[in-house]
Amino acid sequence: MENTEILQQVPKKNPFQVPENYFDDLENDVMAKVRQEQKVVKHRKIYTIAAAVAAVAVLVIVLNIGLFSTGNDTQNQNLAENAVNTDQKLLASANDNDITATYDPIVVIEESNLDNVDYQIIDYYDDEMSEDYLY
Amino acid sequence: MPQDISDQEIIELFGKERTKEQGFNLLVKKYKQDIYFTIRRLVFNHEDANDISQNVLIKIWTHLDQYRGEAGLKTWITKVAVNETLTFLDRKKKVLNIIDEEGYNDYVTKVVAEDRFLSSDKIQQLLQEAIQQLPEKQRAVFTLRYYDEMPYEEMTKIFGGTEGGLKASYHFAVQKVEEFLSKH
Repeated sequence: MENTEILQQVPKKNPFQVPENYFDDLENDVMAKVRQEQKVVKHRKIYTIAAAVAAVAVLVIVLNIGLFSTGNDTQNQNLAENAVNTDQKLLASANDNDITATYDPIVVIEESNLDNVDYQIIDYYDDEMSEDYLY
Repeated sequence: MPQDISDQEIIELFGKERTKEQGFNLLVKKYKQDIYFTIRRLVFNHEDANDISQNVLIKIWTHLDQYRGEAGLKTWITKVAVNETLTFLDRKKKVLNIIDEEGYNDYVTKVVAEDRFLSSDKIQQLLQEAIQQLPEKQRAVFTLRYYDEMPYEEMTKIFGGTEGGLKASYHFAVQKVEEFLSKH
């Protein structure tokens, strides 16, 4: 026998009382908490999916902008090549008179006119030449 | 009747998203009283038992998908209830700043005398006072064996350790309870 005489003499009963309807209330309270928790989980899932969709949309937009820029460069390059080809054709067909008429005349500054040259422009070009563009 | 629902049925319903809540509701109906009284016998106070019972049921809702069936469902539920209660009791002792056995026993006597949800039967009150003076884990071993007549083999799934160790723990608990009752 595990229990000695004294303990055996004590009736084995449940001495604990509970408030009226306690167990119904316990069930209702717990189920309400569970349903609330499920709502929170559902909302979190929706937010997560919405955030993922938004991220993908942004990525698509950024990529499209990138592709659009690359497309323009290709276009511009083609235009430039066409322009060069056109120029070469023109040159081939042109004589000396045509060349001087097509291009801006080269301004020859005679030594006597040096006083009138805009030294600001010369200084600017000097500055440009001295800058270190590597940094 | 909720007791007629099998544990297998509860687990199957809980395992599917669309019937998860239904399965859990059946579990609550079937086990709410067992959970509550397992806890109440350890903490004595109804308000504390209510708080812990709600926490235990929410924990079961969260973790039942991890139940692997090594122990019976009731054993698994009891394990969750006992562990939550022992954690609570440990925290409460620190909050109450009880530093010695005498201080704790005085506290228990006061609590038992003032409780409004306890039978007026004096012998039962004395027995509860004796049980409340046991160390927490020993108290859990005692109440599960004495009130629920839980087999020691099942108790090893709740407490760990060996059947022999649990038998010894129960034996010492009985001695202490008897000593208390004989003095009062």
